[in-house]
Amino acid sequence: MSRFDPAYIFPDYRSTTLRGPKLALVSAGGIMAKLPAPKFSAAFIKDKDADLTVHGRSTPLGERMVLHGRVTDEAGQPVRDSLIEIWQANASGRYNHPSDNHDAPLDPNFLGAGKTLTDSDGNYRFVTIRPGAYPWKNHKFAWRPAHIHISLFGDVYAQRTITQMYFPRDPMLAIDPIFNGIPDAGARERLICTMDLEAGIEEVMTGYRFDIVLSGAKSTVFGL
Amino acid sequence: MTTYKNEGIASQTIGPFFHNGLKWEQGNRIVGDAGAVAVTVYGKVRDGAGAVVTDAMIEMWAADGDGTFSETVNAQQRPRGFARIATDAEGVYRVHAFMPTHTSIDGERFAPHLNVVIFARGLLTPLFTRVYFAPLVSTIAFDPIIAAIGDEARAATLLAVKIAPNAYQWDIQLQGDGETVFLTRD
Ligand SMILES: [Fe+3]
Repeated sequence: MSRFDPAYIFPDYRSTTLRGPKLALVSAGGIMAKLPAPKFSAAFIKDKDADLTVHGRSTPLGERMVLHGRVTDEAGQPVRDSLIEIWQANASGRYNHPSDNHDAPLDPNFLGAGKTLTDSDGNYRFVTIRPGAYPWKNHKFAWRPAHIHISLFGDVYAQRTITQMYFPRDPMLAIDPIFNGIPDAGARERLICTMDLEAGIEEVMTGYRFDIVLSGAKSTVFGL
Repeated sequence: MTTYKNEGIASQTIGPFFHNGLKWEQGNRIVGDAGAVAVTVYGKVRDGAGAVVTDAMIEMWAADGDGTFSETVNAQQRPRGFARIATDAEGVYRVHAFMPTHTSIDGERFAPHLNVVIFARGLLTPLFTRVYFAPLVSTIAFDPIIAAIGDEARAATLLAVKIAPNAYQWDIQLQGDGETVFLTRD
């Protein structure tokens, strides 16, 4: 795990208690940073894959938003032409997923999945809607803060990461054991996007910026 | 002006609702060189209470016959050596791959294996590991990862069991008795 990753067992998040390994990890001796990450062809991305709002008969409900940012490594170098996949609940906090039992409406115009490649400078851009919060069974009155799930590959295998992006000043962050499973306050802060209205479209959609630094590239193994 | 510190992002769980977002057409297929021997690798994922894990996602990354990671894409425009598969209602995954060969990286020689990453609800941080295709730990004792594990019984958790000429079973125990060896991501 990278130095900012949560511990495997974090009892406040109940599912970790039986799923996190209890024995110490064995050192891979630096090999993960020597293996390339899988690279995806531009042809893997289809026309509307980066716009989650154009897959129904009309626009989905909710706050339409641009989500954009830049992916770099710890040396500040852009992560180029790298696959980013996102998935999320709709504006009511319901996933288009058979095992989501939240009693909130599905939106027939929102499937909640997208993908794109970073450009030659590490930039990416999605169009989506701001997801709603949703309840879960972790504890009494448990609600997940609004979030977008993000999957990234990076340049080397060691950088493979799945994370969640949150929204500024969300009061549910304080009670969320998944977010608070990250021990370092600065690392938690880095999972919160910033409002960036000028990246949106005036009178149409808002904008948020989320920059992503991937740990684990070879050039930074020996520290900053 | 604030100094930008390039500090890394933290991992978060994949959660239980990833299937539509991460599903790939024929995601469970690893394609090798022409003439590579096809093998199926399958198994069950279990938690510390022995319950099957029905919402894990497993990725496997295989080197080509020449030991390098091919940038060749498959018919779906993905790297042909890379597979992604979710466990089913019985906690089972199944990947159609090919028998890997020895690989050398920076002068270190590794026994035939597939690289594995496991994500699941309840895993805030992914698990990196490997699956080897040797009958006994002693036959691959030279492998740097097997050597780093040291203990033979623990190392045996990374060996797929040959069930049929082209079928290997490799179960993953996330925690508890027979806990699979997991690796640091460095
Ligand atoms: Fe979620």
